[in-house]
Amino acid sequence: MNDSDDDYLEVDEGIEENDLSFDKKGVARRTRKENQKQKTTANIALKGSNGGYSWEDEYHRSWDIVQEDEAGSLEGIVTGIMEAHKKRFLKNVTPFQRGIIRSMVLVIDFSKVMSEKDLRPNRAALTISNAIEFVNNFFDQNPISQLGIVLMRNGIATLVSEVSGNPNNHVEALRSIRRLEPTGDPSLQNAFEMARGLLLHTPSHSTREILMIFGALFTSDPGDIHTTIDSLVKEKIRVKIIGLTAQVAICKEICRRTNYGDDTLYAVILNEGHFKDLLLDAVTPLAISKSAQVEMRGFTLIKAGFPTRISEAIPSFCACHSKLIHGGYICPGCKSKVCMLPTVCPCCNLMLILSTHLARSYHHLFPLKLFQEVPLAESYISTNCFSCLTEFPQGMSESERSNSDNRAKKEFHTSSRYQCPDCNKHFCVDCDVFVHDVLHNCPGCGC
Amino acid sequence: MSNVSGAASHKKKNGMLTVLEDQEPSILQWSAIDPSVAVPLVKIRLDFITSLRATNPNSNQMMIKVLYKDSSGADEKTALFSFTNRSVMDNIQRTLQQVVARKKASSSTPGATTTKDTDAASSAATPSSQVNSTDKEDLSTFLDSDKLLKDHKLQQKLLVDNKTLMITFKEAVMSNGLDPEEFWKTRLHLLRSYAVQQAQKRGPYNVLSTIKPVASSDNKVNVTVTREKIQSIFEQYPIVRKAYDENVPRLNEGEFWSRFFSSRLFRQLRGEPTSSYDRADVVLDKYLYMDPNADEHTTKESIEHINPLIDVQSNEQDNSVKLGNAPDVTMKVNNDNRISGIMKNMNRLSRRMLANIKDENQDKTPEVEQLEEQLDLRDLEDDVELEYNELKLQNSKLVQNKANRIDDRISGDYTESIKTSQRQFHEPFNLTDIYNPTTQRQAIFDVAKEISQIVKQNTKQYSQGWQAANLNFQDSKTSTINDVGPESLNISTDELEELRLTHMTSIEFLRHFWSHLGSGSKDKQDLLTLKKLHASVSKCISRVEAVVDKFQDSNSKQTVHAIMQPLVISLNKALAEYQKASSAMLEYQERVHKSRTQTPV
Repeated sequence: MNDSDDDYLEVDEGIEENDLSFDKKGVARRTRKENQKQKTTANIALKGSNGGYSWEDEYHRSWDIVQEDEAGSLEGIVTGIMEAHKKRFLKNVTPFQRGIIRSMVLVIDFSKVMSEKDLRPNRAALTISNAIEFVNNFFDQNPISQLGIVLMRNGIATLVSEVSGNPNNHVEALRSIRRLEPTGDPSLQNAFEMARGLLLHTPSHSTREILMIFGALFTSDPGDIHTTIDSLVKEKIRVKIIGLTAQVAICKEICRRTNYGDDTLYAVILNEGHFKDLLLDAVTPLAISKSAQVEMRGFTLIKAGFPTRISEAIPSFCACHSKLIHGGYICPGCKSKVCMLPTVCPCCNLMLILSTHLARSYHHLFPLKLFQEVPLAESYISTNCFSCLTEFPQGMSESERSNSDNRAKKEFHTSSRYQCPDCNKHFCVDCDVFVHDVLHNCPGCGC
Repeated sequence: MSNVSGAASHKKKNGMLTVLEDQEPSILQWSAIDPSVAVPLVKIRLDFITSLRATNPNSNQMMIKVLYKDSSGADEKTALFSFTNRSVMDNIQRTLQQVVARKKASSSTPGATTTKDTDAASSAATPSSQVNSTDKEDLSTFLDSDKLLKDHKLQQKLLVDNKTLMITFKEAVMSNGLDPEEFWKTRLHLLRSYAVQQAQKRGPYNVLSTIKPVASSDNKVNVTVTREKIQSIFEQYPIVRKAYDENVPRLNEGEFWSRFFSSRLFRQLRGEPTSSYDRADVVLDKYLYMDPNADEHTTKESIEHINPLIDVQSNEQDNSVKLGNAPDVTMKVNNDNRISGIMKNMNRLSRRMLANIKDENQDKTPEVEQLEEQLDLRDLEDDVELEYNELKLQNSKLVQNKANRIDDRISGDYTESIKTSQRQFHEPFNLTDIYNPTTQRQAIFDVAKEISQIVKQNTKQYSQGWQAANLNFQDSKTSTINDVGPESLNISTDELEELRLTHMTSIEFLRHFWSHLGSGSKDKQDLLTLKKLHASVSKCISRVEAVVDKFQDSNSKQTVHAIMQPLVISLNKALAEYQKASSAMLEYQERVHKSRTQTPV
């Protein structure tokens, strides 16, 4: 077993902790306490529903998952799906300093290997539809950020869309490459050099990031990739790579070196759902590490304008695209009219945003605390969800619990109530998910 | 590799039939075994053979009939050979079939079978290090803004590729005298991404593995090779170049390649196992056993010496006490030569590919650091615990207190409160006070009209906001379909395009004006440019006025005026800002002047 291969994890029960032991080949191996613990948790993540690894699992068709219970109701299934959905939010909610004005280049592998059909319908098609979803999520949660898209194809990198803050541009561009055939070899170096060039003119207050979806296990580069890595490190460009096949050493090194020694940004997908989750992780801005903080000298104030909205009976040209538009927004600096927000004023280069854009980015800095499930009890203080006023199931008394007929009932297993740790209000699972997924504000704390 | 030969009788005389391919010209020769018999040698040039005929494999007779033309090319002759051994006959038959097929393919359809570029191959044959000596354009050049600004060729190329940019450039720079450097300064990112796209180079790859023979419908094997591929084959496999150099004047070009792609040498170089059952090739098979390393000393590199201390792999393999040579397949006594041969081959190829990569700047990290890096055993290190910068919100306590103050009344008594409010709806409302047809009719009508107007306008603006998002950065020509068309405004398309052009140019000047005004530079040169730009902005206003004045009809004049209104406002704003800045500047200069005159006292 090779330790550098994180994808394949195995726990040998027989090995004592903190001990040197020998395996069959007689090679000494070190195990450590925390490593063991980590591996065990990682192992659970790898296990499917029936306790085996996901590749040992039977193939589930989507219509097999939905099955009625004895009474012919789907409620139990739906609740189960929601509960599973909720698990996604069980992430770290400690407030960290993050760069919420981001500039990111999304690099997509479009080499020959992407026509493999291990993901349905094939890798390229799934990657593109996931990328479209990612672009929408990215701009929804980071409205004042910028994105560019690059393809690795035929040994070179090709630009799909320039770095800009307009999600529709990118989605259009991604749609247009759907018909493209994946060919040739990928080149990490070419892709990184192009991304570097694209990110060079970003202002100093913005982060510089590269997100790569890499399907191949090799790269065909015209030069030494290590010099490219060196310059990425020097220019503080942070790289996150999502592998589709297996772990590749150079990818791990790139992620480690560009993220101040943290190689957790390199991940290989386990299944299609995991692919989506990994992309979703990239929507949250990266936290700034303490070591990076030392290098920054103080903080910069960013000039931004809040434009006024006008409406016109007769359309007039917008300054950004010279198109006839009804109404628009007037830049407070130079009084020119732009059609879309957020943007940078085409005349005076002032950043134009709405306060709601700031608010939408802000929740990354102070994530809403997780709601805790209320433990089972005979009676509860709340009867309805605080938010949507849905009625909660009643508690079960001791005598009812002992009746085996009640075992199938929902209230036997869960209280169905989730409590905000700050305002102590109770919410149903739908509201809990909605509050954490969309609102990012607790209705109870807010009023 | 010996020539194909076998016992065969010709004209009832026993003899040996041999295919002599390593001769020029290659021939099929039959000679009698008994030298005393006075039967002349039969020599048929292989390239004169037109067709073959053989007896049925199941029949008792084993004969091959060779049809060939005389050297004069006049009439067709035949030669009949009979065999006593089926396998001998098959062997010779196969070889001859191959020869005939090859000849047919190269003579009748030279392009289709092997897409070979004579010109390419011959230029490749002359040993050139062309690929290695191409101008080393370092990627870092493109990151240097000054160099980009000076690269006029690149700018021209970009203009040709980007039509919208071309229009703006023509209008602003060529017609209205904007400094081209100014123009490009605000578009550096476009230049840069274009430059990076243009200057990319492909990395080397194993060429032979990409060449896939395709069987065509008429049972021929087709191979498509481009000029570049042949170049790379020569570069990566010097042995092929050697074979090519030694054989090609003699063999014809197409024949060489078609031989090569079906040879064992090709299979071996590709890393496929070769077996003795594969078709033999007299010309190329001798290169199979040549020392492929012979050329290695000519290339610059030799295997880098790895410090034995850190050479983990060697140390592991060299653990003679524990394992001996057992784990290494290549180190066994009676080891199959073919496997290790393939492995060596692949390693050699990788080495050569790496050697062909130009090392652009070698002195990146000092050697000592590199060595230290090598000494690190990453797997044994503890995981790096990254500490992130935690944020502390000071008024978070306040928020909490406030939240805690709210009691549970709302949620607790929900059923109660909903019942009270429901009860309220049972009593009817009296609305007669609100609508009085005699006194308020007009007012109500006006308000309703105003509201519907606002709603209409806002819907328009809203729906179009989505559309506008979709049509950004498309060609201005095609986008007219999507944004508000000229028909609805009673303006012709040409007129609208003219307005658009004026607008674009004005915005271009405004952009440069603001970037100079915002810089706050007090440098004389900069102030001069600013002054020039100010003049251009004023000119823009008059240009806009001129365009609007062209419209005679007062109705459309009004429309055009509205269309250009935001632009006029922003132009005026720019002029006002300039006034403000210049008067502030004057004041400042006066103060400086005063303080200078006062100090001597």
